[in-house]
Amino acid sequence: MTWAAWRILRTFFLVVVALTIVLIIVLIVDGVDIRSLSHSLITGRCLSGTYGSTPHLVYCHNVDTRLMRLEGFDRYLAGLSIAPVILAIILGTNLIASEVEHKTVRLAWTQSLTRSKWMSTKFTLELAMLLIIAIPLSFTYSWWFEAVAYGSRVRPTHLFFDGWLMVAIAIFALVATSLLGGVVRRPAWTFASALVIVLIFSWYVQTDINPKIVPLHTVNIGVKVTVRKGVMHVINFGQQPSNSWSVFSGYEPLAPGGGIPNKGQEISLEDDVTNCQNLPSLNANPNNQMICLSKLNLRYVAIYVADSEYWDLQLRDGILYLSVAGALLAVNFWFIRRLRV
Amino acid sequence: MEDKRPSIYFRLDSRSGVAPYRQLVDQVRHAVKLGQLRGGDQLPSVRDVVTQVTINPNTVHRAYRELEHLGIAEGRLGLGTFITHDVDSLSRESDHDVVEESLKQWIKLARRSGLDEDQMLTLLRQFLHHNEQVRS
Amino acid sequence: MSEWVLQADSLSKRFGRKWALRDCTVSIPQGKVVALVGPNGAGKSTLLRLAAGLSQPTSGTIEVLGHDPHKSNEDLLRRIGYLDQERPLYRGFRVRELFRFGADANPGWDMQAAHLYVDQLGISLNDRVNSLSGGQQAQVALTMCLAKKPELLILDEPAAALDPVAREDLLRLLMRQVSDNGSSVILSTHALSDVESICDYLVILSHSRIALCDDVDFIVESHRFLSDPTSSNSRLPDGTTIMDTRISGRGVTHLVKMDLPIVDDSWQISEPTLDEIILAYLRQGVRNGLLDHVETPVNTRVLP
Repeated sequence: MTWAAWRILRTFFLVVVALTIVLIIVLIVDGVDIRSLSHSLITGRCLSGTYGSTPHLVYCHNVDTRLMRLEGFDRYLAGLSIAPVILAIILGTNLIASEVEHKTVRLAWTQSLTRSKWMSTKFTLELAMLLIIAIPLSFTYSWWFEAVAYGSRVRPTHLFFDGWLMVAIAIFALVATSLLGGVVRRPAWTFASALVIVLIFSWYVQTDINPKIVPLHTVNIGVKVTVRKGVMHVINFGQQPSNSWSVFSGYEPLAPGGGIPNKGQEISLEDDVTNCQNLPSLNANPNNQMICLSKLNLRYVAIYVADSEYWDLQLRDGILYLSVAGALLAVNFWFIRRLRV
Repeated sequence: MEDKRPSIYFRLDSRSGVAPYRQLVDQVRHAVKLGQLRGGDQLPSVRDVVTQVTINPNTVHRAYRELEHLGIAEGRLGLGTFITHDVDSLSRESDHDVVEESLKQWIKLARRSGLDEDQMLTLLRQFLHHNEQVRS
Repeated sequence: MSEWVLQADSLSKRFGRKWALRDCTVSIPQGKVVALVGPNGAGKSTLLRLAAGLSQPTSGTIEVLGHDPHKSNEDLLRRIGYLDQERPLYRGFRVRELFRFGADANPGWDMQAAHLYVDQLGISLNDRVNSLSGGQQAQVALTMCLAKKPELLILDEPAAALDPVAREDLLRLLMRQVSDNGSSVILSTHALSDVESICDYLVILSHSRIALCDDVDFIVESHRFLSDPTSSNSRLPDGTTIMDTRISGRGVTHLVKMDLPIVDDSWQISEPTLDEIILAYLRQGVRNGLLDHVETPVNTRVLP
């Protein structure tokens, strides 16, 4: 039975392996390129703003242009990081939906083996195929993402699809799709609905669950204006690190505990903030705005997930995806026993 | 593949309305009468018959049993079914002659009274069935 | 070992609001070649799929070789060969690869027999399933069932849409299996000639119900045409049930099922062919369908 399951997917899998190898090579070449360019950008003192001689200026300009050109291409490469999830959905569609559609499930389920055995054989094989593709890709992508983001693992706006989370999400997608296939029974619809569900679920994990499962960091952000000898000095204080993922930035009551204000709170705070911004005394002393706000117990903060939480997030999200996948797999085994084909 | 040629080739007419086992029995009887099958000849095995014509093996068994019952064939354990040796003496040629002769007379009579072939057959069938009912 | 290959007790199956099978009670003895006959949509495929364990009854029970087929029991699956109406095969496989799958998935697989069958049919082991004709695919699908060496073959229209030669080859292959292994067969068919030549047991399904279920010989013996050329309202002999009536001119011809031998000289009696009996039952099914509320079992009903 294992052989037949392999035979069904053989051609597809070999094509996927070939494409994966191409993608990995492209990622490595691109990543090395970016590394060396950003290295020369830094070591060539192009970032300092004092360019000195004309050849140096031309050199920095060249480096900058090449980096810009790569960035456009990198957007597509970053998009391709969803490849393991797509592969998982295709494999998951094949597991049940395709066989139901082509009625071959009637052939398979009337051989001398139980549905559970059939399912576990096929699932194990597809899982192995998925891992063979997803693990090297996840390593390559993690390295590449770091290169593109100049060394940071957590980025301000992106979803975390890298690290071993890439593998965990793919496994979740495989199981979810296979179960969905038994319900939907049509491969095209299974594929489409699984894609939507997996994306919605991972978006939900990212925005609603992630901030709750790791400690958040808060930083006060503000401006202090001093006037000395008739010259106004503006001092910015507080800044969110660039290698962090921003959860919230805005005004927050200085209440004990703090935390992210909900929508209702934000709206109720808005009036206070506007009042302080429109104080008539602001012209006399710009610091009055800060004073006004602090009188109302308000402060401007950035709340973020710090780079140091990277491994914690990977671990906790990974466990979350895998346990949901495990539960769905159990449901799937129960479900196919009563599936009418 | 066996090289041996079967002693008889059966054919089935699915449109005749005659039960398949009856067709096999009739064909053997006919072949015996014509001398195509003689005493001691082996009838094709059930498997061979099934290969010759599309027929249920149970039906072939049944036909052979019927032939044994009629004394035309006999089963030899482990060997197959054979035409009985005394089949030649068994065939009641003389009786047949008498029956045939009287049937010929009857047909002449029927023709004269204006019956066509179909009508004669219908009449004959009806009487055959009627007799059957009375027997049972 | 059970003496029945299939036993159903008030077996019913509903899809949404439509009953595909209703209140079917039937027992099929071992060693028979059973024809399952009925119009399209009568529930033949539903019954066979239930027997193969591919779906489960809405109500009632079904037992195949003494087991509940839906329990997905490996031992039972090994003893059954199922051919689906659509003859599903992995299209990208070569015939050899299909057989490898069969050998992996069935402990009783007879590879030699499988090779012999396709060889006789002129199909090469290297042929891709895609490249085979419809008839050859049907033969390969049947070979998949036969090489399992099952005790019971459940075949859903095995010979449908085949050319005459392919059909003949396929049925002969099937009969060889019956003679070699003593397998029982339940097959659904639209071709009445198949019933006559290869089947010895008949089940007629009509409008989701069992209309007739018996030994073919017994069926022929227990039905007669009764005709009265001069009157259309003569009294029927005792112990007869009218299955079909045709009125011509002054006279009338009934197809009757008889429970006793008929001893009544006022009727002309003739023996119907199996085809005529089947057609009469199928027609009656159509009429019942038009009335569409009949609850009484068909075989005790007397039409006016």
